[in-house]
Amino acid sequence: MSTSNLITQEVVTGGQTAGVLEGPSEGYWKQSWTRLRRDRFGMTFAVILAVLGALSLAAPAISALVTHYDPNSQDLTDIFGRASTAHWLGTDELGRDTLTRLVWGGRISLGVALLSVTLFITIGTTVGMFAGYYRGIIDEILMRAVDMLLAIPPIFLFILVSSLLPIPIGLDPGHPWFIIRHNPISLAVVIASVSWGWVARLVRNEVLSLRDRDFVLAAHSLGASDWRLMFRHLLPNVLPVIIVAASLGVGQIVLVEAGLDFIGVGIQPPDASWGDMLTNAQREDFLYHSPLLVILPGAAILLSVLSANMLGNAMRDAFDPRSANR
Amino acid sequence: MLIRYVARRVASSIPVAFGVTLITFLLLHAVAGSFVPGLTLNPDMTPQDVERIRHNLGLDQPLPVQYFIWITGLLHGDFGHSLIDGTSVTSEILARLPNTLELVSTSILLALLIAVPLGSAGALRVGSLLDRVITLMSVAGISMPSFWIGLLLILVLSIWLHSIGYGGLPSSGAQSPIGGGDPLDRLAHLAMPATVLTFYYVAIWSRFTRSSMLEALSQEYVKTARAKGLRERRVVFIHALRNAIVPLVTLVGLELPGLFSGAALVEVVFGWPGVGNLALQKAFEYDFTTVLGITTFVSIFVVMGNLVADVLLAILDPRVKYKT
Repeated sequence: MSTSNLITQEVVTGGQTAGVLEGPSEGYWKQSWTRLRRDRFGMTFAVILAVLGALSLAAPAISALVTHYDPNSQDLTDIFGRASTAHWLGTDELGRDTLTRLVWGGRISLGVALLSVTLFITIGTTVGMFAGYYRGIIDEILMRAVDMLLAIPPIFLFILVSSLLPIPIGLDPGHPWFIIRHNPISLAVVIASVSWGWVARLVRNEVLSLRDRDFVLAAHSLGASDWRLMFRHLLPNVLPVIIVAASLGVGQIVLVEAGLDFIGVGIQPPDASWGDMLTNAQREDFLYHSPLLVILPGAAILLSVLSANMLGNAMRDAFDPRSANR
Repeated sequence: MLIRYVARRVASSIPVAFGVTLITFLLLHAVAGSFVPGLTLNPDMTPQDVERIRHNLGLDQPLPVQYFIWITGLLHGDFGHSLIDGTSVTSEILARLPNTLELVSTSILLALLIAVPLGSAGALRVGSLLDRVITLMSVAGISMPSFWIGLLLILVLSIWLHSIGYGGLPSSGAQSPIGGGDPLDRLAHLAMPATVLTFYYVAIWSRFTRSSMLEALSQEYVKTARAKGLRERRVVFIHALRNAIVPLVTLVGLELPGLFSGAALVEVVFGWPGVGNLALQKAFEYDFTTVLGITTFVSIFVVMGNLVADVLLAILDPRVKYKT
């Protein structure tokens, strides 16, 4: 067993004697994985999330082989169709196949969430790490900035940021047909730029509680640089918290993205995420024609967010060695 | 002691409020620069005209000067003027604010009235069917887009109910009561948006009450109360619950930004004439100064809300005053 494992073990059990060690040479990560695998409830949601992800990834294949529709191909002779053998989940107001659009929508919804979470975890962890490690004035400045960021209601901040987006690319947004246009990548960047605050706070508190531990002192006295201390020694110990935050973050971002689509500052038609499909369904009198158009995309969002949240909770339990006793 | 605590808390809120104005202002002006929407689209406009308009709007001044002018106005309650038609942003906000506050406060109140009994019931019967149902509902509640719940409500309460001949609830078109609207009609309009927001916060706060109550029930003073032979009802409601719900005050305060965000979405679903709806409408008109004014106003409002929550907590829980 390597020393780093020993250190990790000691830290995560909060200095208590780890009476729950299963085998003499099982590391912390392996133990956590074992605990997670035993959690049937949590694993069920992990599988659901994986299936949703796989379906979205396979969207082009599903389009070509299973449904035989393009997500944007219209059929005006068959609008607001009910579920049938030709269209398993019905059609929308332009006769587009709902199932096809759902799997393509998942690509955008989950893709934006994944990219955005990667970005904001990176920003949040870096800021939190610096604040917690250097403490003092740096901590004060960074955390007050986070306080300010978190005080602005996010939707308003999104509206502000989104309304500005066309200007730096040199477009005159005053043009009558111009609307706030996002592609999935710019949308993910905008969401991430507004959402990293709570991760920074979380990581900072965690680092603050770790940085006076003996293993940090030991590494420091061996001449480890600040950089090495932060990213080789502290980061692995903060990682469990970050992983849980990432899982919960995926759920949160899917919701945020849907909300932005709904108010019209998200992805623009004809491309559609689940949020767009929902938004579309409430236009004019579509609700009267086909309740399916409202129910299905919402259910897809619910299922993925619920799974991400439950998986996050399951991982939190699995990472906590004390939960093994329960 | 309380006064000193309040003073300290107020003092620490001021930099945050200032920082918020700095963030929103810089965000807007660093990106937008001297941009005025629609200006370059008019072919009759000479470059001199464009310069004159920018000068009149103060956009040719250096950024710090612009910020100084803006913040001075802010301190006098002037949140700027529209880039499009020059109307006062403050008056626009004040016209819409009562509607948003009506929606938000109704939802907070209803959510607390429902969440506290639900959460306590769960904590008193851990693992029971009731407890499981409450837990499941609260996890599902935070996993649904609020506007989806809104749409489902419209589907059932407006469309379906109407189609079977029961009238149904109105899904949009709320009028301001100041404009002489009928209070009963107002209530009918409020019902669905408030339900949506309430549902979400019941989900969060009932879970919180549950764990907070579980913690309180395991405390020594509860044991003492039981040992003294007090009736269980008194132990639970007077000794445990009172301590369990105090932290909720902070939580409600911390949720304020989320509440205003959520309210903005719900306002859009139901055409509720609130501040969020206004901001969105102005964003689509590229009326940057108005969007900036609204965002800043709502943020400062939230900072003050947090302050009130903290002071309230200090009054309810004397221990707070002595910490930090």
